[in-house]
Amino acid sequence: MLFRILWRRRKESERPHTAVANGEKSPNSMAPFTLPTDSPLAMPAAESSPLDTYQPFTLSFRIDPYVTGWNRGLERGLPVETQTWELAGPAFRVLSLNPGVNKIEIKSFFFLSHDDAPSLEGVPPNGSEPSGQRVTGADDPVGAPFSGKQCVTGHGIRPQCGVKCHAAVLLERLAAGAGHRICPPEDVIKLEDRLQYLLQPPLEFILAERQLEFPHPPFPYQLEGVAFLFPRHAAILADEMGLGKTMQAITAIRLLLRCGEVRRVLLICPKPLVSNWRREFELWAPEIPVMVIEGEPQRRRWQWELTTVPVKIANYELLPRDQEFFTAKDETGEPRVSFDLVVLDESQRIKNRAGATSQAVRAISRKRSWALTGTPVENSTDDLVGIFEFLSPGFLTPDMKPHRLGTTIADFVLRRTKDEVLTDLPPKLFRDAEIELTPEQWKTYEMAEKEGVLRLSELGAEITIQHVFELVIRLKQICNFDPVTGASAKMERLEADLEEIADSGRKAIIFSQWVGTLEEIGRRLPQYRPLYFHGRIPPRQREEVIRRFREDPQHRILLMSYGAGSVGLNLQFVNYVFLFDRWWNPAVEDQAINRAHRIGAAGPVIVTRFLAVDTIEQRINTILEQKRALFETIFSATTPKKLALTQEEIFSLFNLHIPGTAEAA
Amino acid sequence: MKQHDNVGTRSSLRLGFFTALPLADGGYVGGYLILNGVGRPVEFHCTTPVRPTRAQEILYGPTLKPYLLGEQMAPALIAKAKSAAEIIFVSEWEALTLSQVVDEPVALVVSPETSAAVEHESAASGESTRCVYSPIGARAAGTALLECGVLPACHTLQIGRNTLLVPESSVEGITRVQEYLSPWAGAFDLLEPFGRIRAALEEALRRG
Repeated sequence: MLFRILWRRRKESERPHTAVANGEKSPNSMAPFTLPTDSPLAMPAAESSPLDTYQPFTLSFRIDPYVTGWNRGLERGLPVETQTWELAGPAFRVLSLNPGVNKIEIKSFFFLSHDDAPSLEGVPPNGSEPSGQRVTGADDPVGAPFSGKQCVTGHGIRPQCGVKCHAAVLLERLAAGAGHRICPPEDVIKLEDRLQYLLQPPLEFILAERQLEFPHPPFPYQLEGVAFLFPRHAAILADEMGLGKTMQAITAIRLLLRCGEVRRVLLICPKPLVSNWRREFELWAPEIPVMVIEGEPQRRRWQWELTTVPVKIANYELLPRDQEFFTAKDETGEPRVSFDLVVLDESQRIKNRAGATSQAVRAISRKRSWALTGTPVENSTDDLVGIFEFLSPGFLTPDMKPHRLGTTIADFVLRRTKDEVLTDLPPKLFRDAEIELTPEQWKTYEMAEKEGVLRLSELGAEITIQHVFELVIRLKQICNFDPVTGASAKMERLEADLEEIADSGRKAIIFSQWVGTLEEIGRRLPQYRPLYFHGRIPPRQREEVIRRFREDPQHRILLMSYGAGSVGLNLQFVNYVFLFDRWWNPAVEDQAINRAHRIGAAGPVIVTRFLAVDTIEQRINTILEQKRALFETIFSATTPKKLALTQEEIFSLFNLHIPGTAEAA
Repeated sequence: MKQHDNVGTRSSLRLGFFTALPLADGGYVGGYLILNGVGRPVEFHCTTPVRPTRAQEILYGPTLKPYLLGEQMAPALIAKAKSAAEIIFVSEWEALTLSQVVDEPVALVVSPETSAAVEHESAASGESTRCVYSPIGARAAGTALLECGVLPACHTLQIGRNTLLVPESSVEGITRVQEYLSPWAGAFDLLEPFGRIRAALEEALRRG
């Protein structure tokens, strides 16, 4: 049973239906029903205002009690139905995020700080050297090797410090992002050692900070070469001739000396180049004292054992004779002579491992070994193996396949060509002058060839390479000058070309493989005041020859033999090169040409290669051209093959076969 | 105890350089190089890879990198150093938070590429230039971090070819060493040592 309690607004006029006040019984005996005061339905007593307007009124129910026995039931409470509504949605979960602290492990490396450049302590002062001993650089007016020639400022670098200081140029390059770092070679294993290299400033920074003098700012590729050499204990700098291997080696030596990495350096070069190296040291490292090992045996022994000179120069020819000096042991069994660095110039000189020179070089006690050569592979892969026997004995073996050889030596060899790095070098123009022999020459030539081939054929199985070689030489000489009449088509062409060259005030070098040919040319060209540079010119006179050719405008031509003039000379003031006859090996020809075509070349270098058509020269040239092309392929792929003429090739010049080989085949 | 030579000679000057390399998987390796006054390395410290947790990525949001670089890695590296640097150069703007953690003055070396993005605002005081630095590509985030105070307000300073952003708290310290710094930094690119650190970090990662 539900009750609804109604409220209504009381009006003054309204009166309750029944008198219910104070519990009075209603007349109709109905029991009054009054809401208890604590009932939730009762009006709160405190709310006076509603009481003013609302009044409860009593509900009266008429209840008819029936005698049904239900009275007891009426005394029970009224049933109340309830309904429950659940709140929608899942229960909340709390997730705590802890950012935590990263565990950071740190590796630390500490380095020795070379705050100040070390001096070359122990360098003998002026006058302490033996009589006649030349120590380049000892004429420093202050006396100390490194003083007086540097532009060291109080602190910081002063790029505008002078004409010879190229700090500003180097720093500009560095700022432009063209710096060169000294990267550790692969054989440096320890991380600490590798980082020591990687964390050094770029080479431009070091050179600028040290205020090292240079005659001109090094080319970027040259600094790359210096950065390559500097950290290496075994290295081949195999740049093409004319790119400045000498300068790069000297600068690397200079830096190693100045930072104290090395103290005793030995440079070995062919005898004709000793004076050139001394001059280059004066130019590129004027503060480094240099001693040339030469003179009587007693004096040389003293020179070998002298420990106070930072750089010594010796020539290859000397080494086998002086081996007992530099291999002598002291009382403790240690070598009396040892070097921190040995540099071989024209290192192809030791390609023959069994040769006395190679053995003598390898006997020198040393910590670092560098080789400089423009032709690391002159003939075959054996050349490279021979050089590596000096650099790192046993590292290469003759039976290694070319491809493997290439990958094995990759970290040890740096080779660049002019085309790669000297994009602004004046061009080198080749002119192949095909010469028709004069009738007199041709008559002599044909007769000599017929007779020669006939004689070779008659030799049968007894024929040797020497026999063939003799015929080749004879025919080549006829191509130069007719031995009977003296006629020479090449000479006529040369004279015509030289007239034009002399008129323009230029100079020329003429190469031949024979001294006799050079002298004949010289006899016929007295108007050009020719100078000679070949094997019969004493070495001590050669430097003077070059000086006169460079400085005296009356000397227009220099007559050079391939052997004497092919290596280590700087003749970049020359614009014309004539190859009067051809050498057997294109690498030697290239070296000769590059005497003139190198850094500092005044202009284009025009190379004229004389070639007598339809002769042995043309046949040789065809083979050489094939080999030259092969060389390019070889080195780019590091798969060296033989470059010089082989026995088979020499025999084939006359359609001959080596006895017992071709015929059998 | 760190050796803190008196600033006064070029050779005794110690310059700190901090940078971090991002890793392919989201972490960083940090390197701290101390050079002497002629640019030679004196000390090098590097971290092993530091990878933020997912919780850090969520909670730090755009402030994660400033937190990792400037508050975690750099202070840990600097604490390992034996020599105290007169000034610490950083290469990334997020590492400027380091200035709020260490006593040494800190300066950001601005690369030429991003120097164009340095925006200047006149300071209310008018005494100096207040700088809002927001590298290209991160302008919005950088500005936001500056506005909410994650990155300190900076002043610009030109030393030779180098543009520096210096937090206000570091200005006094840098002024103190500027006399010795200028001849050196005036001639050289202060960004160059960061290249060395990167090369060293890559080498360390390669070698494990």
